[in-house]
Amino acid sequence: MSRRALLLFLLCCTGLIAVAPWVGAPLEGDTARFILTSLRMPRVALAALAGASLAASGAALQLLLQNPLASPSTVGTTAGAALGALALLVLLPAAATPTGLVVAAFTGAAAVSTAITAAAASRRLRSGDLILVGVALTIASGAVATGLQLRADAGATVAAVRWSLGSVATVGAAKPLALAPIAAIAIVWLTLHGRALQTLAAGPERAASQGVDPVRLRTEVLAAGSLAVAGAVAFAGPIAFVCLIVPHLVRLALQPPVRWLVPLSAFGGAAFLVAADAAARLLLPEQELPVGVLTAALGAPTLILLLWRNRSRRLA
Amino acid sequence: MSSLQLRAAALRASTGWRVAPLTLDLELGRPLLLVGPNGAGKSSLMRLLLGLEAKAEGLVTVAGAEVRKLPPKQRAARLAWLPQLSDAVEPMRAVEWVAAARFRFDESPAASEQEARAILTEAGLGQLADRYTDTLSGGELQRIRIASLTAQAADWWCLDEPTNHLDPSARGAVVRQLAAATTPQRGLVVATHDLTLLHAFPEARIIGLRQGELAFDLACSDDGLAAALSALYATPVRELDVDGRRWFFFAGAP
Repeated sequence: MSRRALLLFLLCCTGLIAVAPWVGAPLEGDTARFILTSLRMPRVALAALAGASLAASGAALQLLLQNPLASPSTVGTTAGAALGALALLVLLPAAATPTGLVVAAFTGAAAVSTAITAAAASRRLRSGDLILVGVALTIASGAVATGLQLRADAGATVAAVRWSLGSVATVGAAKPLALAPIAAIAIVWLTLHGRALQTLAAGPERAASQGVDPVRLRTEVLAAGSLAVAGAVAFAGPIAFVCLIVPHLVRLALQPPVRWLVPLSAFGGAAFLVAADAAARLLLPEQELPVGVLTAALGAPTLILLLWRNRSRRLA
Repeated sequence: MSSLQLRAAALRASTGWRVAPLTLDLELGRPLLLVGPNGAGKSSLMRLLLGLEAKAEGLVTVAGAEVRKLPPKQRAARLAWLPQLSDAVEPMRAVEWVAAARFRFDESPAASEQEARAILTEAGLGQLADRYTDTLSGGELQRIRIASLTAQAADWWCLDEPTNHLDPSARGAVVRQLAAATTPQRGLVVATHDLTLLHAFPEARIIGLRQGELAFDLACSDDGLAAALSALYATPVRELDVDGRRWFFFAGAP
């Protein structure tokens, strides 16, 4: 990775985030200041923090599980976090404070992460089977979530469905301010494991003989990854595919050293989600198009493309 | 001295032993070659030596310390491992790959990479340093992998089938790299089916395993080695003197 490419990448990411609040309907009249400072800036900040959290956890999970298709949205962590948050929203609406939502989402994400780790630790499963386990867990979480929604009244169901599409719409700085420390802790924590993840990526079987404590690494990366996903899901809903695509885009664009993949994915994820949200605002300026719809629309074909590439590479 | 000792070290399988209780004393400077048919327990014995088997029985010590109880980085300073060649999932430059083996050192990533580059240059592989490992040939990759053992700088090197799937020229390069690594300060444990390796290690100790049990423990120079190998593999093994070195090879149908 050349210094020039790195600099250009960082400049593009920061530039995109800096410009994003001014993208959309023109800011005019008395409400301009309110729209800019209380709606768009917090929205961009929330998108950047959620995108960074999701992409960093996706990159770490791909390195940890040694699978290019691993990410919180494909191994079920996002679905687990969404189920945890949704359960709280529907069953105990009074407890659905920001802290309550993060705790509930973390519990769901950690439960799925533990199940995936147990599956990954079993030598009976091949790496590709993990994704199947993830799909099974996602479907199971989805079924429970649907069941929960059936129990709720119509208003709560609509709110839950809307929330489950993922959105970074927010009023005021409360949400981004609450997410900022969670995202910072999780991303720094994941970044600190960069060298261990590099050694693991160089030979998963060998890493233990090279001084890596695999159990500790796995536990810490999954805990930090679950925290990142839980924060993003609690404040922005289960936004799909950012966690899967962004690390691959960063690899394609920069070919960075493995130990830099997590922090660079965080940067890329922040810019990606901010850009997707800005695009959603431009596409349907009169309506609130949840950003999750756009990332899913972009993510599904990308996933298929990656699967295809992966298969062609194996057959080559 | 960083001697490696096994005291009734064993590994149980659901039926019988993967490695039956084994007592051995290994000293630095004299290579050990583990031979035996598939499933004889060579790789399992190697994992026992490395302290990687949670259900191991008996005791394995290195320099007087129990291997399984050593903190991971201290263990990595004593014992390094090269498992059989497997596909790398994450694309990585060769220099990064070798630098990854310096995880045990308390040094910056940049220092690790500088050291890795020096090791690759020293091994005559400098031109491959910035190539991605998935673009290397099997022979090039195996030489890079062996360079990563140099980078880890452990007392003992344990290699599992290091010449598998290599053409004769790549195999020759790997054998030369291993022979050069054989110093009085280093222990070499190599599990292999490749009897042509033996010629490069005339001082070696050869241990034959059959179904997890010790079949023989001979010196490479012992006269009875060809007969012991023939019995072990149930296939005739012949020896040939080439320029004063003993070459062993399978000859004839089992």
